[in-house]
Amino acid sequence: MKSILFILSFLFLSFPVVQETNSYNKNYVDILVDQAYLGENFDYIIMKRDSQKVKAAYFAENINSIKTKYQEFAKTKNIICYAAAGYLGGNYDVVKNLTIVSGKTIESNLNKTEFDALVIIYATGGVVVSNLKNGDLKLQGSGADPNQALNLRKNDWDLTFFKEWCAKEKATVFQTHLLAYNNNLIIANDADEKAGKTKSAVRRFLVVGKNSLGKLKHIVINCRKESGLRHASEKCFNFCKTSLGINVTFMINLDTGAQNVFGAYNADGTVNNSILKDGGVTTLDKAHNLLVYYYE
Amino acid sequence: MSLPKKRIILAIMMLFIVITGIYILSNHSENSDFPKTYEEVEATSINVNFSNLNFEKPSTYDALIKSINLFQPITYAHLIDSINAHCDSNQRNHQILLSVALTSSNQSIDTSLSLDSLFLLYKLAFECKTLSKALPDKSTFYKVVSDYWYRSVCQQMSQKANNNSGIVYDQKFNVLYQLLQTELYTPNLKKSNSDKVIYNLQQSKFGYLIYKFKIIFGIPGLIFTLLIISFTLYLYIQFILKLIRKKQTP
Repeated sequence: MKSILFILSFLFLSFPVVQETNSYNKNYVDILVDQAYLGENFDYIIMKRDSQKVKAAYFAENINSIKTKYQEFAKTKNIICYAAAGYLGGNYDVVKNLTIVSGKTIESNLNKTEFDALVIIYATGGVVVSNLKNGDLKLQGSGADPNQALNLRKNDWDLTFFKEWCAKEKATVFQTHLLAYNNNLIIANDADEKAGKTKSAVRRFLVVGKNSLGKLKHIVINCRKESGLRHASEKCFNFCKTSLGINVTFMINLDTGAQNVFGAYNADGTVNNSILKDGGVTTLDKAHNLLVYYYE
Repeated sequence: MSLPKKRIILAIMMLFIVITGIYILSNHSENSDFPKTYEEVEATSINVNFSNLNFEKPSTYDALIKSINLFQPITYAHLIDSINAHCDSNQRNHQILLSVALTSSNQSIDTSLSLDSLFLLYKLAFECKTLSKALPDKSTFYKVVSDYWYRSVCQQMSQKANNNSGIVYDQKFNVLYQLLQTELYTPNLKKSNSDKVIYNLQQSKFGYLIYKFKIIFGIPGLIFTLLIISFTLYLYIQFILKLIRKKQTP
């Protein structure tokens, strides 16, 4: 009887410890550091999404940093990596462009001319991107007609319907630069010339696509060398296609400007410090949005 | 002049300023196109002959909105009810077409509107938002119109700030900016490079500044940044030393 009680109390006491230990199955994640490719050096994290074990989540908050929310979340999840994603406005303390988190609107303004990627993160941990230029967003559930394409930029009724759908479905949405779509690089050829020299920076992207076996991969890729958005995205896109054999479904930009926040963990839960931390990397308390990948 | 007399004159002047202020404000609201009471709006009749109208045609709605006061959003509901009373099929479509007419007719809105006019548009958006909650059967319709005006005001403010960066220090501009932010519509104000440098200095992000200057200007940029930081620190030290010396002197 005593031994049973001892085992039970041990299990009871160890439960929260087990829950808070951050670790993941290394078969689902590959972290590669400082990989040379045509004069560039990349760090990248390849996550296998086909098993649905690797999931994504997104946090966003105005004025206050998302640090506390993230830390609460991280207590019960096995974090693989996190990165600031959407852009900031105001005094770099409010999110820019349409942002909805779990159905709650953080910013209502949909940018109708720039930022073609409408990123939707499902509660199941999946990530999809709609090209706003195409105006062909299709929704399911909460009264949406799955056959009707919504054009959020040109049709105000569609936009309002989409926001209502997000509220009902508790969806998470943000808007950012769409760099590649359907295996084509779509960022303008003269994007770097237009932006000027001040826009040279280290870059980070999220690439989602399938390999030759049809397996879904999510790749967070760091470009160590400072360059313009077009230059870096072209190199990354070609690298993913040729070196990694990925058929790129979409590639989006992750913010490295006002809030260059990034972190990664090894499979045993230790912090991965080998990915370059340049002069611009900022701490979590400066982040007002965060894309998080975790293992469950 | 004796002191009590001065005080009396000052009090009279203050009273005059306050009364004038109240008069101007009340006069301003009198002149606005917004309804004062619900009853007053209810009394507003829509003088249109609805028979023989084709409610499937978008142009019908363009003509219909001329019969209502655009700054009295409750009249939109009355118009919808009147349309539905004459044609009860496809009621959702009526609302869609009316929302298109109400928003697209204003697509060519004057881009040089004053801040006072933007306040009125903000108020219109806010009223539509309130009505979207009060009238569930027309909720999406009012949300569409409200969203359109909020976004238009944001866009205009962004344009104003782009054309005249000094406007961001205008009190009215700031009040409107805060109001919009409360409604979760933040105008996009582009920061100039000098604004960014000042912001990063305020945030003590010296490492980031050195990094950016190095990228843009190379080694001369790095040296220049180090000089600025050294000079700033030198001024701080001098200031602190001066304070200490002042305290020590009897």
